[in-house]
Amino acid sequence: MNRLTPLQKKIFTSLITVFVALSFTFALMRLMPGDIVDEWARELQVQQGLTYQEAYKIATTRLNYDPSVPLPLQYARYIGGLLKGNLGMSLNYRIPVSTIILKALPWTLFVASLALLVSFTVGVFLGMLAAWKRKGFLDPCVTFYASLTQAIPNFLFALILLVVFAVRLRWFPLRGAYDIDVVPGFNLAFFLSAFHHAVLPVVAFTFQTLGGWALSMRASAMSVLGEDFVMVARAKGLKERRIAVQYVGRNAITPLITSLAIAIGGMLGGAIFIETIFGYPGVGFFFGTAIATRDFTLIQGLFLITTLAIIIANFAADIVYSKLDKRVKLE
Amino acid sequence: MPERRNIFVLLISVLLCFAAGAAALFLSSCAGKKDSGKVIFRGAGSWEIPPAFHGNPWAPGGVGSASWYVHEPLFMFLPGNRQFLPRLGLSMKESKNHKKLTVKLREGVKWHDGHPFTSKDVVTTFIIGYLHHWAVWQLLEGIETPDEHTVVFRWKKPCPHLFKTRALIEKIHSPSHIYGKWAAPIRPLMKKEAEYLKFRKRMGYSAETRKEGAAFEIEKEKKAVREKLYSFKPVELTGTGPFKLVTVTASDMRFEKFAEGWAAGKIAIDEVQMARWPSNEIIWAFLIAGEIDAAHPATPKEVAEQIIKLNPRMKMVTPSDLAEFGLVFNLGREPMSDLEFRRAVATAIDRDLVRKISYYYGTPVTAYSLGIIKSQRSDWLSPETLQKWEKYEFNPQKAEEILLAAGYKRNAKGFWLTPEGKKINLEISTLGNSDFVLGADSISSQLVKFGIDCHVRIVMGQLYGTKLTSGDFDMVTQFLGDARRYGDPATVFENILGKGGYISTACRFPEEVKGPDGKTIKVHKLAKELREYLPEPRRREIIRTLSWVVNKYLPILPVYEKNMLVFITEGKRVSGWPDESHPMWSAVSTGMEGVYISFMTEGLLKGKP
Repeated sequence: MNRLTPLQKKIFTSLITVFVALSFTFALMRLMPGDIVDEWARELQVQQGLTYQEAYKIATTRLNYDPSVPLPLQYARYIGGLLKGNLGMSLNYRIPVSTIILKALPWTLFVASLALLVSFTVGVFLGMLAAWKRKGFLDPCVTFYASLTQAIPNFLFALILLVVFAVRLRWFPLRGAYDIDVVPGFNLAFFLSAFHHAVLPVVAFTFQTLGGWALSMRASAMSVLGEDFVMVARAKGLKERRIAVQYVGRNAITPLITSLAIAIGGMLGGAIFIETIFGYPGVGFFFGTAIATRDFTLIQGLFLITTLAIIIANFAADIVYSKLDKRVKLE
Repeated sequence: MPERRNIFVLLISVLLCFAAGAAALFLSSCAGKKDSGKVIFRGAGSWEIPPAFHGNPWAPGGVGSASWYVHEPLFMFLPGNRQFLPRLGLSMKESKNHKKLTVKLREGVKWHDGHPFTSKDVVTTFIIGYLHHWAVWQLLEGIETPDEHTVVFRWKKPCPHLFKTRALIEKIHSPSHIYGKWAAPIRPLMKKEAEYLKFRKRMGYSAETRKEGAAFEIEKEKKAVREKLYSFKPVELTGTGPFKLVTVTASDMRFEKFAEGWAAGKIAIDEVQMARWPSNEIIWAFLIAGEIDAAHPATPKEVAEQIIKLNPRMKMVTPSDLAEFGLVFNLGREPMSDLEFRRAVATAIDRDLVRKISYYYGTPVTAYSLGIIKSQRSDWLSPETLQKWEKYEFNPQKAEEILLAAGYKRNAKGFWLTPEGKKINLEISTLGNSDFVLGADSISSQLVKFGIDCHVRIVMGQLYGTKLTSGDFDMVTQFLGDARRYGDPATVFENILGKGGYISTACRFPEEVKGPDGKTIKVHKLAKELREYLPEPRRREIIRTLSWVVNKYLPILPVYEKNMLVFITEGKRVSGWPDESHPMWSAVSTGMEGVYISFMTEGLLKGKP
């Protein structure tokens, strides 16, 4: 290990993290209690008026999973598949997990990245202002907003948005990623429709995360405000705004880079409740369905993507951080 | 200064772009939605979202609710008047020994791709159904096609109503010109399996073990055919139904009227749009917004009234779902194993109050616990018979007397103790559905008020079945008398008292009990016999006996008969909804969409006036 450069060490530990995470996920999935065949059987029993045994027999034919295969063998097949770039077939849908991810990921990226952009930009701006004018009106407002939004579950806020803006005011559509009348592809109608449909999910995503960014920035900025170089800048007679932006803001935002990286990685996991409420076909929607139906391979695939994204984003954050702050070195 | 300006400009630009985009989009969407002049019906349904939506009705991912609009059965069954409404079948005739059912098919019917519909398509569907363990094959020996428009079902033994209905209401969704190639390899497998089963029956258990390899081989071959069938993804979903599927997205489905359909002349609806059903709460929002014309979410009274208040054109119909909601007692666990204790619990609960809190629009069940659902009770049990049986009406005084007589006593705080002096602590396990949770909570509160310590535990769907079958509960909320789809008491008693029935397994009901005359009643055997073809007097006798068993031994306590709460909008996009007395509403338990489709094909639903 001593012969490795810091960058190589980082790559090596990242790979180990990925391996541990996917092994842990594999084991966790198999330890989850519950019998999915039983649930399907009960659903079929109601739908088709069958006896429980009849329904159970039909349900077993649906499942692309043989629980009698020993776990080590299942694990070896899974790892073997991954090494070949194969995420496996969904147990529930019997289509490649990669197909589902490739179809769902763009929608989640679209909505989550817009939400992250808005919440980070506005949150950092508000946090900076709150720290700068601590005795003003904004500071308690930001704190109150952040406490409130952390307390309200995101699905509840999503429902409120739906009722107010889609049901009552009819400004935005009730559901979906685009209008059923448009043809998906590179055409204006589709893009307009997609943006129109994205507004409420974006607002729902933004609502809860914005307060967190504002509070983090406020705390970070307040610690920077007590630094000697800020006092020196003031003593030099520099304008307040210049001190706020160039001296305080620039230094205060650096610690947030890591959080931003994690958030970028985490957004690939989508938001189960928000995507379900708005009928949005993103990763979160499939995550929710896969957990409910114990679709092990799909859950593993989605977890893997999220894990990889977070690790890569963290890795990138470390590099960017070391470039932004010369005091920090990659070790 | 330039940096500060840059940040400021960037922020403002982002926000302005966002706001301007939203406004432009809002305006564009408003301008784009003009009245096309088409008569559109909007409903709600469920399906797997793309790419999981398959398009092959047999494959996992299937076609979801689209099947109702695209595919049709031979007949539609109306449990209300026990009649069969012709669809792809025109008429039927049963042989005197009930071992042959001949169905004449409608002529001139076409599949959406233009191919004519024939008896071969029926056979193809049923043959592939064999591969998927369709329950009808337990009794079905084979299907014959004497000509292109006649199908003959041959049964292994006289066919009861339950199996006849199963055969007639299955949707015919596999045209032989598309799915015939998968039906072909199944036929020899069917023959092979029939021979194997005959052999097993003839030779007994020891032979079965010797031939185990044969059964395994057959199952392996069946699996291989299934896997090939699942990999087939049709370009278009083909059916004979009144509508063609045009578009499927994550949130919507759109269907266009099939102009060459056999009922096209009567159908006034040009297009069907279906919103995906994520949860009841979202469907309430769709109803309030007037987004859909009909839906049936389980809804508390206050929410239902609010929806109606906000939509003056909306009304409710409440046909029975042919199922009762209530409690299952665990007879394998103290103190629920004590009949006297169960009698006391049944009498201590104000069931009508539970109904009002859990599902206001249900029909109250307050006196007996019969298994047979309340709306069908008079068909099978006379008032004179019922008068002789014990009633469990709400009477806390009586409940107290029962417990005291059985040796139970109260502690200083007023809580009940077992005869051994141990404090009683009960748990009601329930699924997370709002009506289930509210019902369980109301029962629990009433029991606590009566002095029985009780609490509610919400169990996830995937764990519920395991909890029930493992007997790890005191009481659970569940649909009990379940006569959905067929309106047949055979399915009710199979579930409650049958060997391996979902409820009988959960409650640990014994195989035999003492009858009113002291003789042994073999309940498993009777429940099984009820699924056979029986002369009417014998059928009535069994139903009477099993109802007596349920009422006497109380493995369950029904609280209300569930009525579907169907919201329908009259005159916004469509009009002509028949009132609740129309017999077709009685088919809601066979599938709500099927009822809507029937209103369309009968020419009842039209455009707005």
